Amino acid sequence: MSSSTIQEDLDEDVYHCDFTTASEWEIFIARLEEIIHEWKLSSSNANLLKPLKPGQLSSRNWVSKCENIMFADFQFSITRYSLTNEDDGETPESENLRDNDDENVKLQALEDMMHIDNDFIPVVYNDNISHPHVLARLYSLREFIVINPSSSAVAKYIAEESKIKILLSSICIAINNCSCEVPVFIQALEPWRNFHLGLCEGRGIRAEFEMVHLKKVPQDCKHLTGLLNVFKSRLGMMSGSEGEPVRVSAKFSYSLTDWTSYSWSQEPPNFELLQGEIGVEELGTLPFGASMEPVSELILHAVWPEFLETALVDSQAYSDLEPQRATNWFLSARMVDEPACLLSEYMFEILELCRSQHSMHEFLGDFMQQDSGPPLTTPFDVLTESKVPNIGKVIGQSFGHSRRDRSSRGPISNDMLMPILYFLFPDADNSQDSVRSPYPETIGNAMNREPNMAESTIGNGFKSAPIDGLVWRLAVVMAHAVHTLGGTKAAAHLWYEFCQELRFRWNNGIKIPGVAPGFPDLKMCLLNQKLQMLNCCIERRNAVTNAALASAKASGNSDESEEEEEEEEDDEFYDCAMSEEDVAKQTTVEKSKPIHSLWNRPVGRLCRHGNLKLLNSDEFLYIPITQEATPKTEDQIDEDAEVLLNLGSDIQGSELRTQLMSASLLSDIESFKAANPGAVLEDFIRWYSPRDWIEDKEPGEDGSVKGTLSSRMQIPGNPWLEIWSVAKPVPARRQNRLFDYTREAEKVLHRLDLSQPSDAARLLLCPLLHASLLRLVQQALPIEMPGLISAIKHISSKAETLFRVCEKDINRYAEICKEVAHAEAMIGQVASLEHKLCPGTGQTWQMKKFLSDLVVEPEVAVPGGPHSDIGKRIKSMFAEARRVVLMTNEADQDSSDGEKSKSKSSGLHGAIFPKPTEKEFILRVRAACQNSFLVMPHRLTVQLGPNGISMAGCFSQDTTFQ
Amino acid sequence: MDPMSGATEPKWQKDAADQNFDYMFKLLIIGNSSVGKTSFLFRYADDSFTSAFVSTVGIDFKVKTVFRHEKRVKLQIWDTAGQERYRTITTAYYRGAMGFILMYDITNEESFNSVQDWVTQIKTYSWDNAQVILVGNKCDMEDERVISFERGKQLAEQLGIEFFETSAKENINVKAVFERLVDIICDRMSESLDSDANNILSGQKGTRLTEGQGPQGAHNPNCNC
Repeated sequence: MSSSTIQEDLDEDVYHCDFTTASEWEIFIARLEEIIHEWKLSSSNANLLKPLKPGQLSSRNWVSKCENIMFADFQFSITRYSLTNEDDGETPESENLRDNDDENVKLQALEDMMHIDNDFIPVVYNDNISHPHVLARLYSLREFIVINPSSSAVAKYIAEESKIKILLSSICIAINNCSCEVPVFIQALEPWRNFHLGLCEGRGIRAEFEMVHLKKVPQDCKHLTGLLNVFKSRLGMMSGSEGEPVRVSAKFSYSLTDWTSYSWSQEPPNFELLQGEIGVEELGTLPFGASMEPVSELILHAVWPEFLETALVDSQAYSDLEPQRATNWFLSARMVDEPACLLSEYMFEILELCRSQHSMHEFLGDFMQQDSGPPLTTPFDVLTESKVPNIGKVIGQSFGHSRRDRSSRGPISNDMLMPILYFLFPDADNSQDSVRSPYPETIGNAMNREPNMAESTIGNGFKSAPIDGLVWRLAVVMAHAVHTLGGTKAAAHLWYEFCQELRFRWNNGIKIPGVAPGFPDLKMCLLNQKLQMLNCCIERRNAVTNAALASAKASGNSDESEEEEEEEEDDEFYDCAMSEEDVAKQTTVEKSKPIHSLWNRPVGRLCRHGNLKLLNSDEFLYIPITQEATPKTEDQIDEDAEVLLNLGSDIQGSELRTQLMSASLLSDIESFKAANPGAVLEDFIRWYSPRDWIEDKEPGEDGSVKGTLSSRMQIPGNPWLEIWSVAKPVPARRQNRLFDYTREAEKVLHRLDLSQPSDAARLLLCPLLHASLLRLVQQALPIEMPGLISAIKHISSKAETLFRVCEKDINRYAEICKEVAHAEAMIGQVASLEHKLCPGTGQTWQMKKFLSDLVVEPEVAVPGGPHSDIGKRIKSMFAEARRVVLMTNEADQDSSDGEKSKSKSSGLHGAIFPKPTEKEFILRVRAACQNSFLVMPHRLTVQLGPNGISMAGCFSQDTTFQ
Repeated sequence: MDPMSGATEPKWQKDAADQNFDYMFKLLIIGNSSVGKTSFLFRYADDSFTSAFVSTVGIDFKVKTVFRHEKRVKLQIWDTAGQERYRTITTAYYRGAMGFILMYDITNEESFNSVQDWVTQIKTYSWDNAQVILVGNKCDMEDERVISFERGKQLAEQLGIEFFETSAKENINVKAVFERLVDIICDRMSESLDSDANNILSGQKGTRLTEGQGPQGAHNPNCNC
């Protein structure tokens, strides 16, 4: 093993020694051969592969390998491009192809070159790198090598003819030495010219690849006739001589940029026009799609796949190559960069608002001060008016109430504002018998989201708000306000009115609609949680006032319990409705047997706890009415957690935490004591933490239950013992409130009041993004563009994560919006193309594929060709654009009469299309020419475009009989 | 016994104050009352055991920093009260937890029967990517066992989570449970980081939205010679 490596080392040394006397040229050739061997391209006995199927040159994947190679001190990179062989086991058949054919020798590269199925393949440019390589297009090659100046080379390109010659002859020597049949090219001149010269040799054939670029097109090269002459003269064929006729493929391209009546446009919703008639439709939906034409150009490619030079004429005087008569039509669409799209505009404007530095006051100033009257007066109203708000009476006053005497107008006019507010708070609208835009009854009920819709898989984990709930609607309406109702000012105004309405509702005890009932749902966004919190507060306070009213009534009727009720109206205490049973029990107990003296009469009983009896008496054990749990929003929970964490993780911290957490335990114990006079801690534990009561195996002599507390409950000084010992029998309704609803409600309202426009926008960002993603999916579904839905899902999951971690950086959300914008643009492009090419409902699957391919693919075949419906549609688009051009020309001037008459004369059937922007020809012939006796393949690819003419030819010759 | 669990008080305080860590995981221990949650946590964090810990009032926590995959992972472990009355308080802390240790007592049928309930609680109140391990505690009390290992195992499989039987008293599997939980969370995290890396890649391309297609607008169907 080791000896062999030494041997190799020695060899290498010898090898290197040789180079000391070799010229730089020889070193270059040796390295070239080395690389060719390394890439295993030296086998000359390879069989011919099956001809490629149409389009495979662009649809299959290309692989490339790259090495560095030095010529003296100039660094080149050498790259091998090859099409992957993904054929489904068809390769074995190819073996015979070479044998059973005629005596002519064949090279893979030249056979590929002569095959017409991959003519005019589209090339996509990405950062100036084409895919596939331009050479694949110019010569229909499936494998080739390119040597070009390395990007790190001093000189970026080679231009001197002598250098090019040296390189080409080096290649010639190398590929002959290795018998490599893969064509090798060098790139010369500036890279953007894509100028390549190359060589392919083997089996007695040498094919040279040449190129010519001319900025100014010679007159006789503008048409096929002239080009045929050029081709033939290069081959040394006499124009009238015998031999196989030249086979021609042609492609003419026509550009269409004037859309005339086929143009796409879409207005954003205009609420001014809809005045008074604004409904759920307009307010509740985000606009979608391109607002201006998203397609900048359509290019029609008319293709004649192959005809004999004698079959069709294309000369300066006359041309058979009329696009209507082409065999195939292809279409390319070019798009406007960053087209104006409504949904993404909405999103970006809200993001802009999130970044805004302005304060509410800056926008609303006087308006706010003037309006600060009502909130001050309402508390007095509450005091003086009936304590129980008459919902019907109050709701009618809702917004009108504070707005009636307003002299100055806010940024949003009243006409506009009222429908919006009625949309957000539909229960306030008593102008009609039925509510116009009621909230879905299932709000917040996750089970009720449509299960089999694809959109339900989007945004389920969003920290958003219930779909079509209040926060959702507010977010959408806010976006409308920013976009169409007056920008940031309008947004500030809307937010202000929203806060005013919330305060009005709190003051009057009217619940907020469109919010799921119950405690704040921590999976929803913060604003939704805050509104749920506010509803909790309103509910609790209403319960208290109702209870007070009920008991006031009761005390009016019966004087028995008057001594108990004297303090009933004091809000400081936790209030809970007295159960019927409670009252009933009280009276019956009193009447039957006065076991409780007045001072320890049981109060605040909820129900009996099974058949359990108190340990020390014959009384049943009653579960007390307890204070309800305290609702909290996520920011409050985080604050609480922060407080607990800051106490530290040691024992003292732990004890302090226990103290902080024991308020509810104390409350429960006090309620329990009040409901069960004479109870002991054991009784409480049997209800509250039954596993801490260990019953004796055998019941006592009298059948009574005996047992002990668990050892942990007996630990001296443990919080349960201590709290039990200090707790007094106080029913829940006489205790201090654990949940101070007045304070909590004020906190919520205050926080919302103090929100600046940017805060408000941030609070609404998630529901808005959620809404726009749903809108996106809704629009994307019918298009059936491959990959689009999954791309949207990807955006959605990214957004979900951002909102979960409460990402503060608005730029991160902007990235998401950019992706939304991109998806929206694509959908808009499809819509515009559909409008142009195949308007109407119910597109077939093929049509949908055609449209989405047009958006993502460089070139798409027109299904059915020129005579299909789409073909006719394209023709009429061109015709209309042409008519417009002619009309303006005529109107413009009367000069160049000759031109005009010419266009008119050809206008009979040719005027539909303008002059082709680009013409391409591929000329092929198998002929024996010049000094050769063998029939050899030759090809010339010509492109005639606005930048001049470019010809790429491959001419073969016989190396044996030269 | 365990070099990594700082047994002495001062060291603990130092760790708690130490902000020098690579990751912080919030974990929760939940389960019925008196299944041994507090003992379990004390065994892990302090390597101590007392037969009777005070019944937790509300919620408490401990911190421990461990090394896992060459990273310092700070564990913030919340210990919860199991009594029914504390549900609303404790479930509020589920949010943001990356892992749960769901505990029952192998000597108590009721605590085992409640497992499904607790799983529902987790599903309702935590983020959906939180990791859960089922733990049957007090496996030292073989004489009083009512839940066989197989039943626990079966339930865990049914729930699609991992399962351990442990003893805080005898220090069986306590460390293993936490290490496994940290590992699962790390795995999950690197998965999502990977997918995030892909996101960034696709983000850089920017215009490329659908698979295998060039950006529209940039394409030039014709060679630019």
